[in-house]
Amino acid sequence: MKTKLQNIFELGFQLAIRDFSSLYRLSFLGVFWGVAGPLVTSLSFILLQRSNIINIPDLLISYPAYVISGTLIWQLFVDSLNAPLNQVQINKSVLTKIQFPWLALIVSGFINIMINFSLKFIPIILVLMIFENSFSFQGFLVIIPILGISFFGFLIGIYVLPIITLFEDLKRVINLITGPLVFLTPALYPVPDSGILNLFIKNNPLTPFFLTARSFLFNLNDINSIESFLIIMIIILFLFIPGCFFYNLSMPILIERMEN
Amino acid sequence: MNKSHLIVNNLSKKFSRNLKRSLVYGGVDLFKKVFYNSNNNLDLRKTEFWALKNISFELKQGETLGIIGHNGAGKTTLLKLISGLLYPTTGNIQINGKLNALISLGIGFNPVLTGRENIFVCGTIMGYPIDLIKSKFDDIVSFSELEDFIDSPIKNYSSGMMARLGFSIAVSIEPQILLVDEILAVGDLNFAIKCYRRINEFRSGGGSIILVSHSPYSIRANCNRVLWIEEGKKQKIGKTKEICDEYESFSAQKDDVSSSKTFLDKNYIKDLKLKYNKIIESGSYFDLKILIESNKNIDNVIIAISFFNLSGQNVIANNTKEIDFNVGLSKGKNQFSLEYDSLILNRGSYYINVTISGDHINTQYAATVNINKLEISSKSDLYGAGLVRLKPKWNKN
Repeated sequence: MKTKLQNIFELGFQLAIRDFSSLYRLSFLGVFWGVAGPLVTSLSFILLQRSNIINIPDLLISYPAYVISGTLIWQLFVDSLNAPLNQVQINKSVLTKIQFPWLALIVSGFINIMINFSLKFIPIILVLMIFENSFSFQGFLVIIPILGISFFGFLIGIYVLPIITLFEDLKRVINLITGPLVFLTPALYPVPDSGILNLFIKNNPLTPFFLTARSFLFNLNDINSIESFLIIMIIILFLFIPGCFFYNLSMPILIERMEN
Repeated sequence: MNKSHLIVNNLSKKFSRNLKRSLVYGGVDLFKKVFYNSNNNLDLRKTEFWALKNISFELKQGETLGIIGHNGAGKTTLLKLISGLLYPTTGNIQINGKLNALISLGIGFNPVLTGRENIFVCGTIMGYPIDLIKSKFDDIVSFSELEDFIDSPIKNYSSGMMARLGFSIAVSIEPQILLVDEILAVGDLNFAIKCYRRINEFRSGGGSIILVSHSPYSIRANCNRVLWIEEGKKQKIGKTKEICDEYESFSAQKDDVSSSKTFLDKNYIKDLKLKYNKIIESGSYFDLKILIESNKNIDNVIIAISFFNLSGQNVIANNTKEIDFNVGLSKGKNQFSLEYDSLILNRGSYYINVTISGDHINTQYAATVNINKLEISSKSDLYGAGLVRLKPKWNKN
């Protein structure tokens, strides 16, 4: 068991190094492209808010800090959600030619996403924390909700992987849903006090991750969100091991169809 | 008694011919696997067929087993099942030892990375720990003869260099069982010889090999026993010589029906026939008559004759131009004869294909394709696996 796990992590690490090295060796601007997407989205919303086109109620932190942290965390969730499928597609030629521990692909995807996320998140967030005058060691606890939301993305990604690999139509449905889903989270604006959005955002299991992350980053002491976050994390961890078994069960069936 | 490295028991595998149905069946199978822990569906659903049915055999330590069969016989499916890439529909496989499948070389290579980096990626994909790859690194590089290029991105490698690196990684860290799918001829001749030598060392060190091929020549040269499969079913298993002989005569009959024809441009040639003795002893005298019925007088014709083995290799080729034999056809019947003092082809089945063309090779008037079969027999069992049999003079000096 120990050797098997060691093989999975060793291979996952090697694959992550391979993907990371090849990605950045072909690009002159490297990490910039990872930062560019969330920054452009954030700047658009900052512009809309400054022009009074969207009305954001008073926040405990500045709106730029709110929206930039929100989009970065949202992007992490989307990347994690897509990672299992991306890994399978990138490694299709390997999967159809040799038997190896398939969970290594998940490990590789996770390492890659964490490295990419850290490269863009750490400098931006450090600047924001300094601007918000909220720099403290408590801020480092943000790693917990960050890992949590990534696990959440991976968990959904693992469970939907077989169905979206087998049926192209469902992959499009998932892509269709994830786009507007950002508006049902507190990534770009706070939870409204009432109305249908209040209902959706409050009950969205992603919401506590955003609130907890911001609470740690900017010293907001949002105890309620931390409690909900812990409950959801326990559920995620509880579902993760069956998810890995399900993934291993489904892979031979998927590999057989990949060859068609 | 040698222990078994591999036991394959009643192995069957089914596929669907229709892609969309195959995807739906995939979903259904996954559901059954998760909720009923079952995938033993012995009935064929619509569009499904058995790619392999009830295959059983055993591979002993130090043995080289050849798997032979025509295209679509199920050889590669069997190899993929043994290597664990596919799961059997029914049956089971017992593997006693570390197995390495050489189905494809250089798996996981990334063209942007250097040879050095790719050794580690490919090695870990093949299931070797990093420490072991580090300890074997110098062996891998020196066997591949790529010392000067190991720190260059492999996109700058030639296909031969890439295959050499892939093969070196695969064989430098020795498993107990090697699955080989017709890839031994990698790189140049010197490297191919090195590969065969390494495979022989592996075998004499107690390793077992399964070699998959549709060519009886490589099977005869390398294997102790042969499993012959056809349309997913086991035809026979036994000694190399017996099974390959049977396979070759089966192939000859099969090819007779499937791909044989005579091409005639009726503006010029009415008929083309060959007359010869259909079975001869290897190395004996052979003569052949070419009967051509022409519709008009044609000057400057080239008559070419080729002997093809069942793998499609052109073993002997001669034509009238190479000896400046000026051929002209007169309207009506023409006859030409051809003699070989000693036809040195090795034992087996061959096709004699004849082409009649104009002075320019693209102007083809008539040709026979795989309809004229010649059987070369041999009284001696001690024959090699080469294409031809020469009779050299041996001396002790």
